[in-house]
Amino acid sequence: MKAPIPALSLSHLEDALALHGPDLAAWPEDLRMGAQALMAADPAARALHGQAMELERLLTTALDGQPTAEDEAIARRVATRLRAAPLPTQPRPWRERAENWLAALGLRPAWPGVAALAGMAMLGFLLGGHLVEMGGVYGFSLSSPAPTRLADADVSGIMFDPDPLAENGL
Amino acid sequence: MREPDDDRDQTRDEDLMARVAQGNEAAFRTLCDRHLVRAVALARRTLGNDADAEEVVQEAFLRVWRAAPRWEPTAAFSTWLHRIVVNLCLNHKRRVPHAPLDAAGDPADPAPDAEAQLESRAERARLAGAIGTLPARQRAAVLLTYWEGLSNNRTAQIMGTTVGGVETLLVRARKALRARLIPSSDEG
Repeated sequence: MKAPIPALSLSHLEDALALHGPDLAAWPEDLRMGAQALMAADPAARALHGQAMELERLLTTALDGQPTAEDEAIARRVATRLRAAPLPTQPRPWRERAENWLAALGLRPAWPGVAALAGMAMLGFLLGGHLVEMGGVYGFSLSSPAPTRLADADVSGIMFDPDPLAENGL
Repeated sequence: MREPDDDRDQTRDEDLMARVAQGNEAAFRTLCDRHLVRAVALARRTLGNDADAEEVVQEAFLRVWRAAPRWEPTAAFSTWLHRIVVNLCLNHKRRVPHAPLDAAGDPADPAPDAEAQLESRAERARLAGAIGTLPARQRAAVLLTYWEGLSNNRTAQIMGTTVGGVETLLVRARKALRARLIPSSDEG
């Protein structure tokens, strides 16, 4: 049994023509069948289709993508102006600017990755040294002397009650 | 003296852009030679004014030069250039009302038959006038689709919208153009 042809209104046909164009072969099948049924029955639908075909013809022939003599003349003027004036400075990414700055000082690194690693190591060293100094000010020290006698040391954390079974010699 | 960039027809736009990013002016001139005419043609039809189009296209290419060091080849160079030109045109349109070009200029390769040529000119003028009445984004969508022959997907990329957004713009534009250009009759 054949599926029923979907009903299409004139307004729906107008929208579909504006969306898909007048070439019904390119339409989704159910929409195409509905449009064909409507056009067979309604002269206004055929008129809409004819207008859409005429518009498409106009658009595709008049907007043919071929530059005109005026386009070429204006392009030549723009090219002449672009050649005549010095081009502006190109803004550079910060990394490239940093490398250029180092290069100007004769310090451009041969291997930027190694230089970055060395920089981070130097930063860590400086920060570490700074923390040691800060400890002296705020009451802690990373270099406080270790207790010299066991009696002076706090060993509560490692003391435990004797095993009662072992004490009885069992 | 020949410069290395004189082999302009074989070098890809993206490779030229890599050289432009290094400050290579010869590569920039080659890109200009390749794309200026089409950029001018699109800008003239979008803006409807030769002086504005000239200004917009010059600015677009200066932006290409300035932005080259940060350019990432995620899309074709021509798509990116189209986007710059269209955005500049749309921004320009917000300031200046549209003045349709007369027939969008003479064809570069005129038809041999004078009568057909006149008819074609009149038709182009009528269409240019009707396109000039469209809102700026609809006009840009129509020109990218028909004049440039781009797909809805590429048009959407250039206009910074979705394919559905482009379809909506085209549907409205076609309805408006049909109402303006095609005389209604009882039967087509």
